[in-house]
Amino acid sequence: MSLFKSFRVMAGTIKQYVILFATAVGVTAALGIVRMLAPKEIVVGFIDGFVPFFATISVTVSCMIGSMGVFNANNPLAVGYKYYHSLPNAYELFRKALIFSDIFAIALLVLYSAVVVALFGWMQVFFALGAGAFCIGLLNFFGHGRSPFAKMMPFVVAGGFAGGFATGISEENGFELTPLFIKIILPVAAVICVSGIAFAVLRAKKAWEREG
Amino acid sequence: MENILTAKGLTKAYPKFTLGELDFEIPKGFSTALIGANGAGKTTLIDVLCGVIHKTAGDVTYFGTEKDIDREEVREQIGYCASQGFFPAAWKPKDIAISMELAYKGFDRELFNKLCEEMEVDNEFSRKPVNMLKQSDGNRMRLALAAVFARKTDMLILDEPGSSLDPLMRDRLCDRLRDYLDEGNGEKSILFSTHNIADMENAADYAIFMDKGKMIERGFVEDLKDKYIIVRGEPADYDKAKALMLSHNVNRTTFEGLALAENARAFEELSAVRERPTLQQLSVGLLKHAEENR
Repeated sequence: MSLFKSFRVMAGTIKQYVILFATAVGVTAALGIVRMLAPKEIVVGFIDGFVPFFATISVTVSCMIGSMGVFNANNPLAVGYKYYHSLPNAYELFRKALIFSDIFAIALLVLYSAVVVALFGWMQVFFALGAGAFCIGLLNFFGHGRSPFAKMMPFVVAGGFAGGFATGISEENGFELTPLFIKIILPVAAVICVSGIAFAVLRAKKAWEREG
Repeated sequence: MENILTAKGLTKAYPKFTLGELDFEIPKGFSTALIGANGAGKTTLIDVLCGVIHKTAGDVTYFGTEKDIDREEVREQIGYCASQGFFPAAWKPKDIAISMELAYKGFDRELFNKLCEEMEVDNEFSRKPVNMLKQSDGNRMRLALAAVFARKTDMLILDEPGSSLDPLMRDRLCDRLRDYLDEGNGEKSILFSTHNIADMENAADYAIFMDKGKMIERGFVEDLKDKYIIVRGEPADYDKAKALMLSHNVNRTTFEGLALAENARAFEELSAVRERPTLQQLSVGLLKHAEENR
């Protein structure tokens, strides 16, 4: 079965993920249009400060919801655990769904960043891209764990730390794609993202067969 | 007699509870009731048989030849339904239909929607269907049963399917189970667990009684009803009678208990009334006897 179909077995309809992401993108686009149509200092200032924060939280979180759902399928305390574990080829479905949800999350992040930069020239979204990649990596490192706190950490990082940080640097002198950011921060985030996904996929079998 | 499922030395060990070792067979073409009190191990046994949890030791043979529950072909043939919260909380009927259609080759989406209508629950075409979290326990079970019955299977393994249903729906479920067996013409089988057999008595051909992880009695229901008797008599005769009974109770006006039919003659002398037990009476009597003799 394909990666996409495996994800649909685990998730059912994917409409809710698309709606969540589309809402985040839609709000960002709406803010961009308002900024263009009403270039008053107070409006521009608010939007320039709010967008990085909003992008970092909402887009990053909406991208990770799918992966979170797949990890939850293997949580004995979650409703649905017995359904998933009774399926034919259950482990293979889980592994493929995990891969798809992570690829889907990254694709959404890249798409969002590309659209926003192309339309509005907001370089701040690259911060959201970096934070998002970092959070996806974190989620995959901790996703197989039983601790709900560990699984929530990527969302806390996205929402609290990264969002606030993004707002802060945006307020100071605007956001620039400095060499530090391009050569170190983004690549490090990408490495954490990829290695997190690899870790989650390699550990999937052991996690799936573990009980309790 | 052919068996649809055979277990030898089946064990599942937890820190504070051990299921087994169990040696048993499920006869082919019949409906088997797995009866026991809460904590007897019914759900653990069913989950092990369906591959939801791993066994610690022992062998299980499915359909005469298959030994590996993780094989796709075996899981396709078994229709499994858990007792509570089977489908994810956020799912609506459409999610169930999409997932099951992709996961199972023998799932009939049209039949699923039709069964949902018959069971008076939302299907994927209902206006504003609610998710599983907002459904009542009974409706969640109806949806789960609709999904199971919409599949082409050779065996149903259902964990307490009647516990959250109202009496009318339980009666309809019994009819549906009978229809399933009739359609199979001796090739299909059912195993269902219950802690209250009273409402599903007419759905059971074979019964297995469990207590604290062990099987305490099993057999065809009619044979068990011939093997045991219910005895009723005067309180004055209670002291003489209780030595012959497996389980008993007494009040101001009468005593009642379960005994082996081979001791029927002894009760004649006490002028006690002897009756053929219902499956419910058998359950209470056997489980009580097991509890008192632990």
